Amino acid sequence: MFQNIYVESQVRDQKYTQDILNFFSEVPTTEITAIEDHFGKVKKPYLHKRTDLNLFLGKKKGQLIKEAPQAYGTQTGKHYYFIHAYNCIYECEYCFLQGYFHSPDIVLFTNHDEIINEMKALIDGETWFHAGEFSDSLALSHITKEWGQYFDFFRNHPEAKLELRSKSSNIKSLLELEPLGNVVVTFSLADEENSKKYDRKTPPLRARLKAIRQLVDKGFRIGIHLDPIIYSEDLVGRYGKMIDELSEVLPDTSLEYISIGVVRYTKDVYRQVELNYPDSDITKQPLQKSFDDKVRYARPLRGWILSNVEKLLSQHYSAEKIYRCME
Amino acid sequence: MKLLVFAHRGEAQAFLRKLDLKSFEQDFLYGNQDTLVLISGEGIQNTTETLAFTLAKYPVKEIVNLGIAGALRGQEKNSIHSIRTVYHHHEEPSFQSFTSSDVSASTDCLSYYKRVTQSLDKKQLSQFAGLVDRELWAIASVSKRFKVPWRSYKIVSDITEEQTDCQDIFEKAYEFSLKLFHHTHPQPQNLIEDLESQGFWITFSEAKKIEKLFKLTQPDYSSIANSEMTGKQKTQKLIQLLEESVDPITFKVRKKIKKELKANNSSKTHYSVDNQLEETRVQVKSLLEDDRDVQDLIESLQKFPLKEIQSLMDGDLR
Repeated sequence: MFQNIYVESQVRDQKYTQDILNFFSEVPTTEITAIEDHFGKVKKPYLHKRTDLNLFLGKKKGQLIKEAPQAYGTQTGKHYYFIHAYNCIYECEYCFLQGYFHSPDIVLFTNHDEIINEMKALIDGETWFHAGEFSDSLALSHITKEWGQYFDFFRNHPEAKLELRSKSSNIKSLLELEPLGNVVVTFSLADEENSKKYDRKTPPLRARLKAIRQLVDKGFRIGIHLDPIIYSEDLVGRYGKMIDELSEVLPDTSLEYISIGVVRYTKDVYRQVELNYPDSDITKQPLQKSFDDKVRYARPLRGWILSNVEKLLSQHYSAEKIYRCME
Repeated sequence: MKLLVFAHRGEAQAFLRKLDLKSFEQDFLYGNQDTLVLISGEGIQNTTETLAFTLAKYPVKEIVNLGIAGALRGQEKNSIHSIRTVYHHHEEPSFQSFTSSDVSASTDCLSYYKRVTQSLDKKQLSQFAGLVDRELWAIASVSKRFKVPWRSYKIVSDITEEQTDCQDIFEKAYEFSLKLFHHTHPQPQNLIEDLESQGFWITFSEAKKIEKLFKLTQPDYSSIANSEMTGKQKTQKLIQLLEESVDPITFKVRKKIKKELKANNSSKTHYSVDNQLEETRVQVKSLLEDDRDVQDLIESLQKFPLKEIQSLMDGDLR
């Protein structure tokens, strides 16, 4: 998976680091002083991740937790996202990460204690902490095994809520933990055709549905992100099928929320998408510059997509659990 | 240096644009180092004067005349003909005729001293030639004097026995000009030129839009291309087709909103929405000149379907 591992000297001896290095014992490892001296110092093309992906291990400096933008999560409570990693092993064609960092290399931060301490200071009533903004929170979790530490914290702080966002079906490490009412595991799903087409290297829809069923059976709270929805002529049929399948593995009682959102890009990310996937159908979508300078569908098409998907969801799930993301 | 001679600027438009020719000393001349365009003006006299001036001043090696002509022998509208021999008629036929340098040309043209509006004229003139114009004989005559070879390409703009509407021809001038351009420059270089060669009249901003939409979809537009619509109408229809194909929802919404607004607009009150359909606000502009206008505006606002329009903007097509 990785060509090289670069590890900061200051974290090399941590158990968390050692477990990861042991897992990748055959990958050449180089000690460095600071990640920021290397990561993103030169612009490494995004698609080099296919053949030349490196792993960085070190401490996250600066802000560890950031306030989430409006309409990021549910309407209630305060929302923050925390940064425990950069970049992702998957390659979704619409992913904003391709235009975000100057490198596709994976960075795993090891200072979870500090992140948790910051969380403690921020708790104020219903407070949400979201993982998975800059990386997939479960894709490497069987190697990183960090969530046990967070579960211990959230067990003692029931007013705080944790969301683990993922496109993975890798729930091995979660199944070793006892579910908590204030920890929500959320899965990003798309209809099967679009998932195959655009969510490169991610597990197929059926694998994600299977993972959801296993977590439901174990008593986990589940969230779903139908985001980004990509328009197709038979969108209603495709999403209807997928939502029917979802309802078979996820009952309303185990559902925390479902967010829905349509595909959108910043201008920079859109340029990267065009560059990286010039032949992809994703660049043939009817997108236009919108009110916030982002590139998205025209308002009527967005409204039509969202209301139709809401209609499909409401056949199986409580309407109050469904919300529109970033609209 | 090649000299292209047109009677009117409208007939030269496509050449000026495509060849990027700039105004050149006189107000009837455009050009660059290789090509000059002469807008000769209508009729024998104007053409003789301006062409003689040009040939005296510039080292022209070849003259190509391009323009519209009337059909005297039933030639199809929009068909393009290379002229073999040109005749002249000024109340009486002139003896002198001139033959072009295009050895493969097979259509003759007669330059007449006035516009042909009567079928009697047509009957008389058709004995001499298949096409009629008002300048070519002068071009050929002056060319001979300066010993410069000439060719001429005429596009049939009207059938002379039909009632000719000069306004129609004026409006179609660019379309004719494009056809002539593509006839004399037969390699379409891109999508827009290809469309133009099929009769679409495309402005710069429309070209950008069409190019963008064609990247997203390639519907069959042959029925539009082959239709009898004007070039402008064809382009509008093509854009509609492309937009509908790319985003049928927004297309339907736009259509419905347009219909609603039209139904509510009056001579003094005008409703409009954000062109991008991002803002759900509706703007109202009204001209109030007396109490009656105020009353009309109140009534108009009371029955204005704001909620329906806002729902449409959110994609509700029920």
